[in-house]
Amino acid sequence: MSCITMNAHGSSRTRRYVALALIVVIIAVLLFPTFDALSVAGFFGDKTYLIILQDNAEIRSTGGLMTVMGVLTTHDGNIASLEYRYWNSSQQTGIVALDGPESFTRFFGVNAAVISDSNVQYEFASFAPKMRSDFYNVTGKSVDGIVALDLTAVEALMNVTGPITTSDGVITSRNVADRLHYYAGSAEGSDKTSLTSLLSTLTHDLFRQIRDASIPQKLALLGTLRTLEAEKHVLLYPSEGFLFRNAGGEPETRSGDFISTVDITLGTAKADFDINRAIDYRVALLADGSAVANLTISYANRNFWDYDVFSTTLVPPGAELVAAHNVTHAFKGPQVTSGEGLTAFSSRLIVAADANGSVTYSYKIPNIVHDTGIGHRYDLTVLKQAGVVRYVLNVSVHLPPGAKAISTENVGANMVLTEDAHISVVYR
Amino acid sequence: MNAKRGAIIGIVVVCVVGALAAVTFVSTSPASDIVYREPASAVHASLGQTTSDGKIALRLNEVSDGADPATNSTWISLNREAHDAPHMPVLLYCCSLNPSPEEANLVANITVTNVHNATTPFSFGDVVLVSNDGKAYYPNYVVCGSACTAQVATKALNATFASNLYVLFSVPESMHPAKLVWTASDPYIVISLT
Repeated sequence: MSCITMNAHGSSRTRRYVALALIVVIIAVLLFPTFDALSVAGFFGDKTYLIILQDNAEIRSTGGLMTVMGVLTTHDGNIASLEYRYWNSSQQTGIVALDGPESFTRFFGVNAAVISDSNVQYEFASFAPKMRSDFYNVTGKSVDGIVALDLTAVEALMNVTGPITTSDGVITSRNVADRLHYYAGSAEGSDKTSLTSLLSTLTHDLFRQIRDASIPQKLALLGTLRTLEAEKHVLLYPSEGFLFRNAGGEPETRSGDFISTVDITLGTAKADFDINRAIDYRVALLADGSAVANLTISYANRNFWDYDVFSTTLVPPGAELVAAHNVTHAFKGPQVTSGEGLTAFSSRLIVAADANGSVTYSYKIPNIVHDTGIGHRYDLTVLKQAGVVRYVLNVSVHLPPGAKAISTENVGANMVLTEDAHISVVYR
Repeated sequence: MNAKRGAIIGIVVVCVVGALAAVTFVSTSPASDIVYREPASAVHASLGQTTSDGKIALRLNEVSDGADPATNSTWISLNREAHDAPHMPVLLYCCSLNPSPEEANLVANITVTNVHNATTPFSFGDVVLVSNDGKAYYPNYVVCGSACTAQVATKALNATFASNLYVLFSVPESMHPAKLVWTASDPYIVISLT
């Protein structure tokens, strides 16, 4: 009991320090127009960043197809240099080794990929350090950090900063994603210079608008960025600065029961904005602290073309797959692999145009409930994949015979979520 | 100590209230709303009427909702034609005309003809849809037949170019289109939908 009290005081002191620091920043932003909150995080110092535009209309493990990469150097709060390259340009065809995850390398029998297709790790924090090293080995360019943002992030930022006029008309938050797709598909030449030129214009103008923004706009931008960070549309590596801590640069914490679905589309183009995802999870807790789970991952394909997806679901270590079935007209799997602190169930599905598809896994989980002293506690974390805009979550928890719930959190149906979800049940 | 604590609390309250007010102010004025300002020298035309600046002739045939079955069917078939045609830029399938909540997809069917007897620049990005409350909306995407896709992509229409273009606009659900404006001509060509 005394141990729990000490921990509570320690975390309370930390919260006070963070709150005081935040107050200082807010006061500075309000009183000093030239103060830039982002500079507090050190992002506008003399730094070189690898900027990755992840097209989350074509989902990949870390958030989307790495359509375009750029190297941005800042000096004294301004862009000193910026160079974008299209993903299959001659400068980016370097092959890099893939040492995992095993669920991907084993399923497809590959151990290497073009650098622009190498974001197959389960999360950005695992991918980013390798990417920094690979980028240096392929291009000879060293970067201080990596900033990955997807099209949802670009739309949200432009919704605050306003439209940008280019040589090809006006780009707004409403049309930026489709216009980038049009240029990616139609621009001539393997280097897609019209696409990279547009992105350079957007970056320079966005940067200038952010720097010159009014105080209310800067506050709105800060709020937007923190939302985008929480929803995993902006990812930063390494994590730095209290304003953007946990923006994907640190490994996900997986404890208790968890579900993390990581999808990779396979040649189905810009489909993911019209895929409705749902997770249905029914778990029966047993008296010995273990559980039997029934997990269904569903895809409603609203596109007029088929959707081909390699879907990996991460669950607790030691989970034992008992059965799997699917509702699609083409299916391969499931494959079961293990990683550090996880078990992975992987399948490949093709969901027909204007149709629904799903895969259901039934599995046992050992030692998933822990004693709290006043009862038993079950915790479930559902980790949203970076790049996915929203998903529907249905969770039901069945208690052991004779048990009664003391408290529940987020157990329910048809929850539409844009972030990770935390579910808990305390019972005795 | 109590006075100091009280002062800190006071500063916190002021800052939080000020910040919330500022964020609320900004968030209720979306930056994507753009007011359309029509120049006095614009040339006016009606729906179905052909107008030209001497190089490019335009005729607005229709502005329809992407949810309309006929519009959707045409959009899909032109996507397939562009995607499957040989020796074309690799246009990927785009886009399913399923709007986001509180949004709509409008498709402008425009006949574009080169009347210049020489290759002429043209960009679909210069076409603007104006609502009846004076807001401007800029195009998202364009599809047309296999004979026209490459030229529209390169923004250079050959001397014999004549084709229907289907230009996609993402707009608020409540938006009522009133005009289509071609801003690359001097003066602007303004086509009324009514």
